[in-house]
Amino acid sequence: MKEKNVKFKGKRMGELIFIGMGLHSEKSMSVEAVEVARKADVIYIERYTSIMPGLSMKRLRELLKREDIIELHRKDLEDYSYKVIEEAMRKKVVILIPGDPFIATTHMALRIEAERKGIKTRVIHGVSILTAIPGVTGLHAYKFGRTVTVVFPEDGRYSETPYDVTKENLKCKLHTILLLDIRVEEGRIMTINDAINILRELERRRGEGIFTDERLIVGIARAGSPDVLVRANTLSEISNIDFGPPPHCIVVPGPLHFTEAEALMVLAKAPEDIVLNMVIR
Amino acid sequence: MRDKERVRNIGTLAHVDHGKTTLSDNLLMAAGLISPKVAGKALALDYVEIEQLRQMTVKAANISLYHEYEGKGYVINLVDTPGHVDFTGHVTRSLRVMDGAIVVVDAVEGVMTQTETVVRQALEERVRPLLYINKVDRLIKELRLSPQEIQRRFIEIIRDFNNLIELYGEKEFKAKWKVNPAKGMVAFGSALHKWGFTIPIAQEKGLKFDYIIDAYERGYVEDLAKDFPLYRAILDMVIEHIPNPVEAQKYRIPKIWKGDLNSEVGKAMLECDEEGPTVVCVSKIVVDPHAGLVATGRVFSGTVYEGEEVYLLMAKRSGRVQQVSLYMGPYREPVHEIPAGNIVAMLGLNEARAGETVVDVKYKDVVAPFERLQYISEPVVTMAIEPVRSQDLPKLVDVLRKMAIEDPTLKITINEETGEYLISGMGALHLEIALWDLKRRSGIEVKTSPPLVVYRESIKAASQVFEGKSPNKHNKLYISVEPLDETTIELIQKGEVYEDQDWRERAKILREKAGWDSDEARGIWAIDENINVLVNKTSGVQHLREVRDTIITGFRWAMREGPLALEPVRGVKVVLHDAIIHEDPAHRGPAQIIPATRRAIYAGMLSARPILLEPILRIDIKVPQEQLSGVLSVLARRRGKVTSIEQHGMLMHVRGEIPVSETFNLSDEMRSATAGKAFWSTQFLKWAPVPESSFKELVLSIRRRKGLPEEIPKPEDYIGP
Repeated sequence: MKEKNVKFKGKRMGELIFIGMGLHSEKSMSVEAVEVARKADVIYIERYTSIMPGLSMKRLRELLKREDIIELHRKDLEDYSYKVIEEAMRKKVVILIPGDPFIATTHMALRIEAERKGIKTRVIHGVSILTAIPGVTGLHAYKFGRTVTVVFPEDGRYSETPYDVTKENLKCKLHTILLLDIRVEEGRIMTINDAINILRELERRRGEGIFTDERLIVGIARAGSPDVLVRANTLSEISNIDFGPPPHCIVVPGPLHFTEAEALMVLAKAPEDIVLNMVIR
Repeated sequence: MRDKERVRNIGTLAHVDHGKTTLSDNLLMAAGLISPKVAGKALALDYVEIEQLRQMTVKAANISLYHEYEGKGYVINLVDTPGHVDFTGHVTRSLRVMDGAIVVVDAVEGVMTQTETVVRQALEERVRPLLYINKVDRLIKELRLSPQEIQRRFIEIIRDFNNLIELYGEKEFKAKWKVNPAKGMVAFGSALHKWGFTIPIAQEKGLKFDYIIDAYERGYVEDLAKDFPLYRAILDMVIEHIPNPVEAQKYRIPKIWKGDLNSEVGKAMLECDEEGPTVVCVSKIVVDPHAGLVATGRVFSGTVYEGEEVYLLMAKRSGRVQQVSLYMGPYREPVHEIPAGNIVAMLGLNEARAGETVVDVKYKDVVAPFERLQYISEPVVTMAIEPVRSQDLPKLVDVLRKMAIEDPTLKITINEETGEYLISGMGALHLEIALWDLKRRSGIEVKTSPPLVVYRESIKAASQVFEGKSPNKHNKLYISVEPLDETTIELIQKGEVYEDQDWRERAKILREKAGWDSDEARGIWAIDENINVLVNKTSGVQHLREVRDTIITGFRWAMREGPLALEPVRGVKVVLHDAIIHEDPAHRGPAQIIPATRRAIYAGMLSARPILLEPILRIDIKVPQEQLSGVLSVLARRRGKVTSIEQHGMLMHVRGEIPVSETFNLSDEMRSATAGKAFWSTQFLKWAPVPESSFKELVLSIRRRKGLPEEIPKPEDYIGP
């Protein structure tokens, strides 16, 4: 019955559509995303899982030809998710999400809850930082290990998971993407420099040679935007660079294929002696 | 002060109104600080006016006295302690710094409830109690007893007193510490009329009881005071029978200090060595309007000097002693240094709180702190407070904070939702006095709500294991709850088991004394101040280490505000059985883990026959036989319970229990029911479940007061789909 759900006893059934908006601004949305959103009964947008530096709500309203775009906060999607679900039982509900909707696992719980209640769900993909990184750095998509988030310490307590994950990936000769904490609700967004301070503290605690001053890292700011900035160098050199406004992230490369080394030199101004040293022969 | 064999550290302890303060004034008189005429009326130690009004010392003050005995001069450090048991916290803190105590007992009333409490507390700290039977004039003037009857009364009181030592004393001290009047371990007298004697004094000077009775009948009591001054009887007794600090620290340090006795510091304290490392145990903090924070305590080792660099073990801060002084009544007299064995007042240590251990900064990492002070009473009454003029609020908050620094049994909290300031204490009277003090210090007019009883939430059964999900549904915690057994509650309350204890030692005590399973005993993560325990029973859960502290925070929050009515939780064991923790730190932050922990605990508690506990007071009433029925009917009307009725001469002695919630305005009703002839006192006894018949209505009324939905939550409210 779900398959032919468009009409049911003369009433239209609801739908829940997750739309990825991409990385930079409303213009990063696909044509399909725009078309589907325009036809929705209700349009929600959440902006707490990531930030899109060029997004303007005014231009978004103009693009979608809708005045009634409602912003959802964490509470609405976590504690009060049942309200969205109830609405989607009767109406076509669209949620606009930065990046690609399910890269951060947050929204999957909502999707599953909806499906279990018999609501049809759909995804329109957008570009994610995870797919942009091979593009901006030249690192091969085949060679990335687990991704991990560097979070702000709480009352002096540091999560050591970034250390463990990077260490394991390096051991397996893989690259590590370090996402940086975004707390839109608290007005705190981690920069590359903040993250380096945290990584240095982890190194001080663990002392296993993962985040030393000589470690090659790649700092990436505003991937997908016209003013994207990518720099590869030692951790201590990167810590001296001002990367400008967020969002930022870091990649810790493992051993390099020679084409990766070339790309880092050309695209990310990596010093030749450092990257060539890391090439597997 | 230098010659430690000629130093004594003592205090006075008593049931309310038995005459402790009047005794202190007699002792002050001995030091020449106040004239003999004024002593007995001036109440010099009650320097706060309200204390004079109430004839009762609220805040412990310290004083150093000088007394000559058998041709030698002695320094006696007198720690004055409050008489009202609403403030038993003060008494406990004072006990740590003294080696002996004069227990004052009213000759007419005899040994009372609070006498028992203070003697027990003294013995627990290895403080030797001596007996002073006061108000002997009442036996003569009011009861008109014959010398034989008076003697019989004395024997009765001494027997009751020694029974307490038998009951609560440790084996090795019991026999030695029972008081023998023939050896001068008991003093008799009238603090009001300033005379007193011990048997050896009476024998030496040929004093007979007929002479005392005659002095009252013919009106030459003043001569009696001149020939047999009370202070001499008391101070002679103290010098003779209270050990000096060198002797006392030998057996007291092993009981009151938990560090290594064979270490340099341990040895120095056992020997009371003024050349050793400085160690001071702070018993009291006063915020002086001019001098700032004054920390008073006992020097157990070393010498405290002006400008000394010290370290505060509890505050984990270093500091400099700006001024060192000793006490003369309410005044401090600056000196350059004070050696081991004495009581010191220190200025400049702004982070110090009562119970702090202050040490030489060079020894900060090697000295163990003194044991936590053990509080027998818990705050049970609270009221909301606000200034009449709202612009006074910052000042009001400032003064309230200072008061809470000085008196840790006074709690100041903010209701986050309503923004109301709440002040909680040990009883209605405690709060009444705190408010008076507040007004005196700040001049601010305040409005208060009627006093409210603080309840506790608990459970009667064990729950099944509940799954607590984080808001993002990516983390799951599996938690059950069960009631904590009485033995464990008692071990925690007495401070034998506590949170930052060595886990092996704690596990051993719990296994041997409370029959805990060894895995559980080893898995304790947290013990909170309202006596709840968090146990980790998981094994091999990934990432658990990283969220451990957050789970503990969630546990503490849940225990601070229970599921029934957001009242504190008491006596619950929370067990973590298993957990699924998200891979990435961004998805398992406090905003996810704390709610998951609380939800599972709340669901567990709500399904485990939740109950509300109310504070119960012990009540002790003395009343003439004719008025007995009046007393009994008052108790019956107020859900009171009578546990015993005894006849003592003309008076009936009623002991019983009464819920705190039934004691507001009790005075008025008791007065009218007994024509004002009942003398009574109360003291915190225990927490007990409220009757089932009033449970629901009570929970709903608390919820109403707090602006919560007027229905009792269900377990399902906390476990999602």
